[in-house]
Amino acid sequence: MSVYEIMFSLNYVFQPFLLPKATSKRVYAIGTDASCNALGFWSQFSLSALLYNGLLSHYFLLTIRFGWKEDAFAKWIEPLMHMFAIGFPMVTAIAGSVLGVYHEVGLGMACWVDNYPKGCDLPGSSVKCKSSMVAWVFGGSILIFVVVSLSINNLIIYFHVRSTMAKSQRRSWTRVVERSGELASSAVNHAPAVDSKVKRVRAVATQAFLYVAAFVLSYVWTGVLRNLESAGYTREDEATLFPLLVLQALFEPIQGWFNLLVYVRPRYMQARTKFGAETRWWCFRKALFENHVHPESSSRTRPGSSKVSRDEKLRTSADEHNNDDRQARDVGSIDGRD
Amino acid sequence: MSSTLSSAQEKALSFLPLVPTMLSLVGSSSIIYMVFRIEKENALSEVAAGNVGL
Repeated sequence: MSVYEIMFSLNYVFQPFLLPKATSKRVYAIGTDASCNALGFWSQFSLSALLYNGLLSHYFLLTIRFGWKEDAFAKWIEPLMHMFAIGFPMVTAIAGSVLGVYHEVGLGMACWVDNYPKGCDLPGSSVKCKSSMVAWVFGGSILIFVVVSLSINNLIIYFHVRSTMAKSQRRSWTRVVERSGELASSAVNHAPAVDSKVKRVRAVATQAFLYVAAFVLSYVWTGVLRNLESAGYTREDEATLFPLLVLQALFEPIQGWFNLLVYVRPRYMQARTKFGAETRWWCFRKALFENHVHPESSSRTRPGSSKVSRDEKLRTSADEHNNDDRQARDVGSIDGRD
Repeated sequence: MSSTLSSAQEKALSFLPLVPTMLSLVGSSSIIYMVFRIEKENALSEVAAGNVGL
């Protein structure tokens, strides 16, 4: 998914410059029909990133709602998901390039499915445009799949988390009532096992929702623009839509960054809890680089720490490494798979 | 009433995606780095635990 995010972002940043100079009215258009065709190909192929967002929600659904184990998922479902996420955009991207469906789009600075067959949108042309139909097959089908997947899967996850938490609360209360003759604390002592399961389900569900939020924030502006284009808005209306175009330019290429923030979040929170004295930036680096980042505040706050023997330092470092390994494995099952 | 973008607006839209793209490249490559690092550490701990032969 991250590999396709890189492709998607790079493609986006080159778009204004690789539009065909001969036909485009854009200020920085220095490309040719071939470069526009290449842009269209990469745009279509990069839709894998979009598809992965939808498939990620299926991963969360299977692991949270249906309790699939990581290993079983990796063995049976993951290969199929990769085949679908890479295969469909690749086949359509190649088909589009061979058929020559990619031209400069009517709204925004990009090359994708438009004006197919070429010249069909010229005034007086007798050829009927098929761009709309091809665009729905190439991009619309992916968009519908992703939106439906995200909506349904996350609704199911939401209701599952809610019912799990309600059940857990009921169980806690039942125990308290059943053991009312005993010390109240003994009832509370049985709660941690249930609490830990509920906490895990809630943590994984939070990750799932944050990935959706990152996706929606990145693509909603493009979705609105493409809908406006199909409703008849053209280049002539761009000044009116300028704020929307700015939001699209800012948010569409940034999803990789949002994904990183969501991905490191569980480790970051863990570092904040474990190393309360460290700065937020240090915790972020710790979340990213784990054992390559060592505590800084302890050496500042405890000047005598330099006198600690080398053996002791090594022992502490090894203990910390082992603890980190265990915790990283726990967190690894929460953060999702990219 | 038709209103196309001014030249300044077009220039702004052309260069505006540079910053988010850089952030996205950093983000995506960091995730790839983390995934490989975690996979490697897991494999090493499996070997250390004696679950996998070298």
